[in-house]
Amino acid sequence: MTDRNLSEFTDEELILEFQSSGSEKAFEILVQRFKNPLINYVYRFLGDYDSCVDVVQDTFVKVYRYKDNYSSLAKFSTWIYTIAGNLARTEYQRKHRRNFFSISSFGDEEKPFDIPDNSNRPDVAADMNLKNEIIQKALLKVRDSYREAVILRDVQELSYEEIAEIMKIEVGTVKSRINRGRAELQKYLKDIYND
Amino acid sequence: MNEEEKTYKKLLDDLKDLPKIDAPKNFETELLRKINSSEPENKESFWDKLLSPGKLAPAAIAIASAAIIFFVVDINSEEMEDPLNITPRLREDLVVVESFEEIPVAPLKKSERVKEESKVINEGLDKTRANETQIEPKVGLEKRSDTKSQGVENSFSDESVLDKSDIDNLKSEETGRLDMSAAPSASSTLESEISKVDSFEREIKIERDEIKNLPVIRSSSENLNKDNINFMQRNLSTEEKREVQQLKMKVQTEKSQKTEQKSN
Repeated sequence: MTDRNLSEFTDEELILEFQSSGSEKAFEILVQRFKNPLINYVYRFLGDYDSCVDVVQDTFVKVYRYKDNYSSLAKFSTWIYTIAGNLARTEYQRKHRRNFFSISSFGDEEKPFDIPDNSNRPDVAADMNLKNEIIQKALLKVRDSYREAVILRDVQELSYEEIAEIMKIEVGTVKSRINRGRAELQKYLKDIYND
Repeated sequence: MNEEEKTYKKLLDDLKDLPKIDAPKNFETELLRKINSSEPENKESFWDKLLSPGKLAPAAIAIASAAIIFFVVDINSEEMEDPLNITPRLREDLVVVESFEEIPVAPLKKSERVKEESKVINEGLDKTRANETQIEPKVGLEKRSDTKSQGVENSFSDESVLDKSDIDNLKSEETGRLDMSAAPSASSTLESEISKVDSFEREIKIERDEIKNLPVIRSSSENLNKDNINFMQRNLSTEEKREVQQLKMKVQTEKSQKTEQKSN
């Protein structure tokens, strides 16, 4: 089997190849395909680039180590998004807990305190205009479960069924969470959209 | 596009237009470094872990202690058996005998027998003395000498009752001793025991006669008067005696006066 052939493989075929023969090349192709979508997803969820890169790398380490846990019944993208989502949630909670004791008491009790994102790389920050920055900050204020659903649907453009599978909830629940998340986001961004 | 999406159209457009964040250039190298650094942890097999010297020594100690405990518990387990399920032990000292003649009887030592007899006799004597002292206050002073002999007789009649019980006790003791020596069943030793008991009874009768023939020692309580009582056992001088007499006289006169007053 040549390298050219491997690049033509679907995600599921690649992971099965990696499972059966332990082909490092198959794994590398999967990393190439999923590193940017996962970085985007995790960054929007965490709002911190460095920790987002760590989370995505940990996701691939888990895929590499526990490749045999993948079942061919599910889509590979769903499986890897689930791993990344779980790690991102854990990281967010860890960060939130750490910031809660230092900052959160000064802010609104129901809403998380707006943490200024100083960890952005200069090149990334330059690309983001002011509007995008405000949206990102507003996203971080939305409740975790709603935010995850909104990012997967409106930023990553996944189907409701895929989101339901990633989040391990019903499609109806996904829809309601997306709706509530959007409403919350709109509320935080009312100054922009009223204009 | 449904109505919900129409209401959030601007928001959704903005979310879609958010700039795509790319992975850093060294992402793959960092990833490979992480994978390689985490790999050696998995390669250590279970047996390597188990047989490492750090774990082998405590494991050996644990096994040795477990073996010791096992043997200790095993020895105790015999004691812990259900007593209802234990088969009775065969007594080697038990001899099955068909006729009385075959029973091996170890005769009592003479010194032991004499000791026991003297003990019984002493006990009988003590009891008669005790009865004497109990009977004396009930009987008048004039009849004491007569009643004493009766008291002695009564005590003997009591003793005869006691003797029976003593004989029974003796019998049981004898049988016990015989049991200890060799004979297992009481029925087999009956004849020899009966003969012994008879001889013992005869001896007791002789003792009784001897006691009857003893001279009766009268107690000094007959001579006792109120005046003679001197519990403190003090020897009074003549002056003191006089004082005492005077005091007594005073008391008597006071008493007589009181009785006269009462009678009047």
